[in-house]
Amino acid sequence: MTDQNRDTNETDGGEISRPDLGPLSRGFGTTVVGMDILGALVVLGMMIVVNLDVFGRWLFNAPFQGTVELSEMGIVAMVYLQIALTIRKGRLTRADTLLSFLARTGRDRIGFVLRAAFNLSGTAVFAIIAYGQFPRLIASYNGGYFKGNVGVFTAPVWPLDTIILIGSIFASLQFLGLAISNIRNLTPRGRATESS
Amino acid sequence: QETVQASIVSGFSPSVAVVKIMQEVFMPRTNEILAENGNNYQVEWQEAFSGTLAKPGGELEAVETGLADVGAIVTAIHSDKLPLYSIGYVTPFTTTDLVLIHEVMDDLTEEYPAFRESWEPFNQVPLSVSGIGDNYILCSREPIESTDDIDGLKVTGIGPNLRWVQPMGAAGVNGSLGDFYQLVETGVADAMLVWGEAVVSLKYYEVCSNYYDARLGGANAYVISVNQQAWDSYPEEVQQAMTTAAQEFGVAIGEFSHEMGAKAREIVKENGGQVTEITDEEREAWAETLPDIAGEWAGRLEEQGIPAEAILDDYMQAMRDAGAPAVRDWDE
Amino acid sequence: MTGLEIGLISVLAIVALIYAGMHVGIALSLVSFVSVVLQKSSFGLATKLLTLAAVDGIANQTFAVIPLFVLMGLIMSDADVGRDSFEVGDFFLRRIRGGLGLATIGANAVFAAVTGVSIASAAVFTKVAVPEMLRYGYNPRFAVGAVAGSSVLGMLIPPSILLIIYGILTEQSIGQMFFAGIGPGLLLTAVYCIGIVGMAFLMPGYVYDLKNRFADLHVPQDSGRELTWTEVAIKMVPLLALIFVVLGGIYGGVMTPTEAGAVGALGALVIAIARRRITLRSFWNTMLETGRITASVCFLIIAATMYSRSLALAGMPMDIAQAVNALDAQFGMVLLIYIIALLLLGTILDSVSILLIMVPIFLPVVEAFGADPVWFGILSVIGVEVGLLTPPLGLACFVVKGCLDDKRITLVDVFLGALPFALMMVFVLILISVWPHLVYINQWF
Ligand code: NA
Ligand code: NA
Repeated sequence: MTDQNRDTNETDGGEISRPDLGPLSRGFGTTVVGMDILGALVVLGMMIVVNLDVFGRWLFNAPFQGTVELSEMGIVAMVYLQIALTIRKGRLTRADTLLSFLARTGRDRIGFVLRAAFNLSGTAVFAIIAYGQFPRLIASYNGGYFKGNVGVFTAPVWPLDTIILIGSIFASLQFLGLAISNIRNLTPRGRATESS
Repeated sequence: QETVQASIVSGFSPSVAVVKIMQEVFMPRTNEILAENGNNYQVEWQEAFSGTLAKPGGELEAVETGLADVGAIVTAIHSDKLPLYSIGYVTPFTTTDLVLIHEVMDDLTEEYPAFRESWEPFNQVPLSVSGIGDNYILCSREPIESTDDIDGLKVTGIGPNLRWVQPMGAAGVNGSLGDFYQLVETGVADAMLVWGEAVVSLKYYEVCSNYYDARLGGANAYVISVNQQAWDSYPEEVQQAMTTAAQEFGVAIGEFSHEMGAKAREIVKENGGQVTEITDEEREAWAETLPDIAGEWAGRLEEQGIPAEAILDDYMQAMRDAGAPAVRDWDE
Repeated sequence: MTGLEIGLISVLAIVALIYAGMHVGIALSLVSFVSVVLQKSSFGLATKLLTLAAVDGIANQTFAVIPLFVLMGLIMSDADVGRDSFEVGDFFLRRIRGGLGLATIGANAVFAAVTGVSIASAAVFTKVAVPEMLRYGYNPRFAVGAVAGSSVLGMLIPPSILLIIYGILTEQSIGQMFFAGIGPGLLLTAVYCIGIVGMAFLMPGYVYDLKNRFADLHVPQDSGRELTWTEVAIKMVPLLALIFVVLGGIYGGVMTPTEAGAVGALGALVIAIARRRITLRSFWNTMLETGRITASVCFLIIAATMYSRSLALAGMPMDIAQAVNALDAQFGMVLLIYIIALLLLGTILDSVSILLIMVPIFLPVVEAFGADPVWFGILSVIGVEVGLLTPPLGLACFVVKGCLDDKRITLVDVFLGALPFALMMVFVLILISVWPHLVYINQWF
């Protein structure tokens, strides 16, 4: 197996043209990629923590306290850190049979309209999650909520709640960006580019 | 006669005591009481058990947001949101009488507004405090003859009570009711810190055949609570009936736990396991090795302006007055 | 509207949206939202349902095995562990038609003793087995189908998260459930193997890539010379070592199946480093890739959680219970209704949600007929696992697609490839319904 397809190739699976909004767009892109990197670090951290727990318990009778809480929080963090880039790279699961049929048979306009509608649905869903998550973040920050048990291991919840909020906002914006490029594709000027 | 709709949530299934006793006592008794008092109302319960609407631990937010009207809140796993209710977990070696714990806690709730106030941020009204763990014991693969055998054991527990065994030289392995069986079966843990009813209901005796009765005592773990808006919409008769039924639930689940706890010893013996009692001297010595977890707990709450010292004093005094075999005066 | 009506209409809406091309997770979330708004006339409540599921739908250590096993599979493929083991498999099985298909099934049955989650099996073997089967001239559709199909063994052969959930849900001994999973797991393995050999003889075009349409996919063959026994032994060592570490760790009381993913990933990393098959750069890319696969799969689970909660809010589980009781049917009829309900729900819900909704409804009914709850549990687990392979929401197929590098193999190919395996599962389901004692391997002979 090689890595060539994994990271650098942005033309996978109906890849996109991001609308060029100048520095704003570039800043957005940088943040999404940065979150993706943080997500990979969480994967690494989780592997290390679980191994520390297993070997600590086995060899030294000293389990790594907090493994349960950290893995539980880690898996959630990973999802919201990497969801935006997953959307951008066209990796969010969908059945694109109809869409590729439309593209093959030259019914591009219907395809773009459908894609834009689906992207806007994605925008709405993640906006709803973000909207519902905001008061939860305020509450967990003000209330000092934590996972774990006092005297054994505790970890504050607000950083995770922040990740969920930011992740959903960026996922929503990413879908919005995709919708805009599909709508642009409806105009003759925007036709040249591919769509997602 | 008027029908009141109420959805009721728990992440657990009817095979777990809390849901079983809600179905057998809390829900039908609410309607029986209503029928006795003029039969003006009946509650039509809509069950959302077994994790279909919320996971264990998720009931608090489900009731807060109004996704469900009534819930059995597992206060034992919300030591961050409802710290006042951790009192049972910072006062081990006090009593094995869950009905007593239920009554003392309900009395304290009446006396100290801090209990009700702690539910306000979560938009709900607490009805009654209850529990299921009447007496934490050590269920182990190898027989534990004395407290010396605890040294070096890997003991799994739900978290707040891992602190009870760590001073005895045990390594705490964090687990949940759902994975204790597997943790001990695979040898990841040597013993579990549980109560008799769970040993029977969840068949833990199959993997840890020995029962060491350390008489660590019981703790309050649940509160039946109602969403504030739903509560306000109920006629007073319904409110009354639910409150009384919730108190009867507290008694019933305590008695159930006691009954099953006694059965656990028999089942362990029938399956060839060993039942060992801790001696009074060992129990006292163990209690003395524990850090002042109750004092730490009260101190943290006092900083937030909650009169936890006074609550702790009253709790321990009520226990002593009722003749509980408390070996350590946590309020001292 | 009753809960059942809401359930039916929402299923149709979801199926239509998914086939139109909406992202599966978005379709599930959107329909859940609309359904709650319509039922409760409250945007607030619908928002909260979505948010809560988004927050706690995967907040469990159980789900942490997904990235860990995905990581293990990716590193194993980087280290050529999979390629080597399949060369060995080919060495032993090349005289049998469909030999590598059999190797995939067999390897998955062994791996099933390590993992408790089918998604993990699917992730690992997509990376390990699919490229090798393509290399040896198998039909891509068959290759992905065999991997998706055999991944269900991961949750039938113990350890298994589904058997644990059933055990807790119904107060059955988890040890007993695990024991009862062994026989049917081996039975399904055997049925798959017979099915593959049968397909290889009767419809070779389905198993082999006769037209070589995917010829350009093939890594150049290794000169075509036979391996020597020494080479076979050397190629086996890393894989056997990995199996030894993980299986030995679980059954020797060092770690839980949940932890095996992390230890296995570390083990694979050690092998990859020892073989100099991994660079910092490629390791980093593997981490990034792991996170993206995880994000994509977990979002589906979150969305399925939203949907099953919206059904619970509509009171669908209670409505089903009442409908079943009102039927007053014979045992065979109840069983048939149950299995059909599992298969239908399996098209759009995840396995755990289906168990949570259906088992509490049906177990009391079948127990009244004197049925064995352990047998019923195995039946339920196989029934919901068929859903891993059926469109539109078939998690095992999604994971296979997500882990594939080749864009020419479409999701439709994966579903079509998995179809014979889903049918074979239904066949086993029928066998076990008719001969309940099949679940106890000690009663086989
Ligand atoms: Na398994
Ligand atoms: Na499916």
